[in-house]
Amino acid sequence: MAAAGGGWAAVCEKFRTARTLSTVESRKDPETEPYRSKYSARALLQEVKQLLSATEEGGEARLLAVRRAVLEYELGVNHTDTEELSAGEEHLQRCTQLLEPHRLSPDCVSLYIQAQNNLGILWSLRDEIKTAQTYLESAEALYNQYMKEDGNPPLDPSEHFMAEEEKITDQERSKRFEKAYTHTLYYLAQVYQHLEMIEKAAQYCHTTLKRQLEYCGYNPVEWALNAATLSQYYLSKQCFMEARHCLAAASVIFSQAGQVPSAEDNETEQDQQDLRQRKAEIARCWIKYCLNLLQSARKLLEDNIGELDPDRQLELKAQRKKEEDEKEKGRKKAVLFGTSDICDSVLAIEEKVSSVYPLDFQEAREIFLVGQNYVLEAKEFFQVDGYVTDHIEIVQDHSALFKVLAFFEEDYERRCKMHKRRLDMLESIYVDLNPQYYLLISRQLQFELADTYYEMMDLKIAIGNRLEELDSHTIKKINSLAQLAIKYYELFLDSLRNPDRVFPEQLEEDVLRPAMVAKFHIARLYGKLITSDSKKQLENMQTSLEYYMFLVDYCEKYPDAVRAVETELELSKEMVGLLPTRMERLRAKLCPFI
Amino acid sequence: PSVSQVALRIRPMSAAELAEGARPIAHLMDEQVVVLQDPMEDPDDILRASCSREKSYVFDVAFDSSATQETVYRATTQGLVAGVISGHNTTVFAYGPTGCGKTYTMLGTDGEPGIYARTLGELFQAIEDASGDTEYEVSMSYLEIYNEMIRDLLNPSLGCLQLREDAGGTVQVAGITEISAISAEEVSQRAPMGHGGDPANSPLPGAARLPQVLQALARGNMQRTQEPTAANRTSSRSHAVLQVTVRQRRRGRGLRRGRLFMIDLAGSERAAQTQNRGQRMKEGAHINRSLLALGNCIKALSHQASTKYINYRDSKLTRLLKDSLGGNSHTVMIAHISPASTAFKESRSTLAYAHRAKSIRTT
Repeated sequence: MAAAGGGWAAVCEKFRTARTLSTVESRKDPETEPYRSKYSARALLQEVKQLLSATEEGGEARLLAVRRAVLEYELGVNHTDTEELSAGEEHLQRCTQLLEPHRLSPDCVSLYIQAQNNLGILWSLRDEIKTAQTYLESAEALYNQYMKEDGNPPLDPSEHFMAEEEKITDQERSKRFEKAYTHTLYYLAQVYQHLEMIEKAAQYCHTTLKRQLEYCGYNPVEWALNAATLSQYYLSKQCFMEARHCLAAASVIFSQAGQVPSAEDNETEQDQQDLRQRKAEIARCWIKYCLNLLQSARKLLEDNIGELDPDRQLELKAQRKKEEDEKEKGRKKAVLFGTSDICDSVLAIEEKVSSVYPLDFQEAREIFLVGQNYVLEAKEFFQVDGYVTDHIEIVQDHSALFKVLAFFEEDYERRCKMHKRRLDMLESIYVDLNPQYYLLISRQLQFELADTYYEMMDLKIAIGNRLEELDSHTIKKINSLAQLAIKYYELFLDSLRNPDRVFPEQLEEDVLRPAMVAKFHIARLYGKLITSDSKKQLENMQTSLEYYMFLVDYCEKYPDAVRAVETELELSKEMVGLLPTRMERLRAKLCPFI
Repeated sequence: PSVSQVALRIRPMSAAELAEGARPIAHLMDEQVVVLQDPMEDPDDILRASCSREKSYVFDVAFDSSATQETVYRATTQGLVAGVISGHNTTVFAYGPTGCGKTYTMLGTDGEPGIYARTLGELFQAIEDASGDTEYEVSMSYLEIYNEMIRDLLNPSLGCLQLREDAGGTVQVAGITEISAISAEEVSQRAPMGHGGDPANSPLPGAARLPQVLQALARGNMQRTQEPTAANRTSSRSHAVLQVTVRQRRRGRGLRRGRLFMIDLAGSERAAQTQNRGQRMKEGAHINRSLLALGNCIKALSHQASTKYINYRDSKLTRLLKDSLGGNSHTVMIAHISPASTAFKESRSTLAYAHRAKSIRTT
């Protein structure tokens, strides 16, 4: 040993005190002197450093160097914590220099990695992200190299100032080492994010989450929320398998949380409330998953008029058969969460919902049902009273689920039933909503209601056309749907008026297209109204013409708007040309003698 | 009418900054343009030397130390008052690092009242002047959001309050103190002769009560949570929100309600982690040490996507303002910076942020 037994124990004691001051006592420092403990710790560390220099002995050079390195590390972190970055950098550099020749050996590797982690943090504090990146990537590489070439649990740096009997178990060593590496990966995730290497950042976040489960200890609710949030990232990239895995893991880990009872009564109620809310939030992520999967499939399958293209369907089904084998291989390489005990639970949840695009009604319906279940779960917590905005968003998602399911349904009558469900749920929330204070949501609902009535009307007409003649019941139905669609489009357009009830001269960019589409649809709807009264028919045609004219006139006045409504504008121009002639003909029939 | 406006205010150099030897690097070029010079003096840094050392930023309106409180108020907030009375929602934010003048702009001092005082004064006067067939009620609350906890600054002993949302359109703080500053009945009581009354006769209740209200605000401001950072500055991590509601009832025309939020935001400066308490660090290039903040990292990933996803980590401030930030509401941000060379990094980041804010849509 480098010093006499008693002396050495005293040195260790000093070191330990310094560490306690730094990590424990410093949290209690008063706000007027936030670094008091750290400064004391620093003084102690300097003393230990002096003591070590005083005992230089040739034979133990290596051991001495490592101990010095530990001190340099602690001092480096100390200075960084107290915002003295230059000094911090000096110490940390000295630490790595001392360890350099032995950095791959078990007594040095953990310390070296931690030093590099801290250099990474230091440089980020200076806003030099690329420099931070080099240190962290170097730490990452070192870890990998060590695990490949040696792999045994290395010494924890604190052990260099411990007596022989105090040394920690291999298991604990491994745990601490892995934790240091987890931090490396976590810091890298942040670095990649700042460098806008988003995919890499996501990958590292994912790995960090995985390692939290395995090594670091974690709060189940936090972990579950993080995993659910990560799933949303994957959704945005259409990586459904990964998204599903994150969500399934989130659900499994979250269920662990409910099992730990809370101590005090006060806390319990708030905690219970929080738990219920988190559960509902995870449910909402699942809803988005199902919705996204269905909507993405729709995009692949639809033709240019928005109907399911059977050829494309066959194509995709054939392609899927081929890919199934490859996917299985890919699966095993993916970063899977969980130790063996949760693996099965996660798998069980994953099996309840597909992660591949649904290509027909049956497959779509299964995903729809899963989504619908989560809607009910989410609504349990996010009730109207108290969570209006959230509740409405969930209902909108529910409506969207029906809408996309209808795409897969071939039978028109059944499609109508789905749209009817949408109408019921949307109207029930719309009716209580104060449009003045929920302007945006109000408009969304008005527009969606109008569109749905419009869609239903079109379906009824298509159904009616299959029969030879439209019976009076169907006619009434078609007219009523058309009127309701018109009503809601008008409400939407009204909402654009300023407080003096004047319709704006020029429409703002974000409402331009919906407003134009509303006008266009109203024009078309007036054209679809069925009446045996020719006078009424003339009136309808006149109204229709006026709305078509609005589009044409507006685009002439504001040519920039053309981009937003090209198709509709073209059709409007046609109608503006045709309608007057038709109206003339009708007028002639009515008054043949004029 | 523009839906949002971004203003920039440069405060005067402080005594401390002058003592440190700092020189001014932020200058007002004209009514709208602010120029920031990079004070870096490292001749060996060839890369940087070849870049321009100056950057200019354009805002809707900009001020420096020559602008009075009155000027700032007129250019940013005065025009919004009429809108609030007729039922619009408006939000005015003061943004910027600690010590750059946010509270001065919003609250002001006795001798130099800020936006709170002037807006309330304007509201009261407008209501005074209104015709008799209109009834007004103006009520206000003053609250603090600190570390996601809401406190009533007019009655801090209530402790932490909850947010509630209802179908009528209000997100409100349950149980908060509301001062009703004027009630139309009181006005007409003092003017028995007719509608609105003769201004010469009625004792201007608005003016009489305004000082009391402002006193209450000043007291409330002292109740804000303060915590010094390591650099021994008084750093404010609390947002102070003054919420004014104007209800207008016109005979035969129903009820209109406008809300005005005036917010003194928490200091935006990057906080070095002085104590490892796992407090979330503000956005910046620096790395957050604690794994507890992994969530922030992950959340930021999906912000890259254009589709809307669930943002259930909405802060209390966002929720409170959510329905006032939609539709045809107005938002005004007044960003604040120090002109000193020692504050270059913070100023740069504030200017960049405010500049970005100009392109944020409120719908």
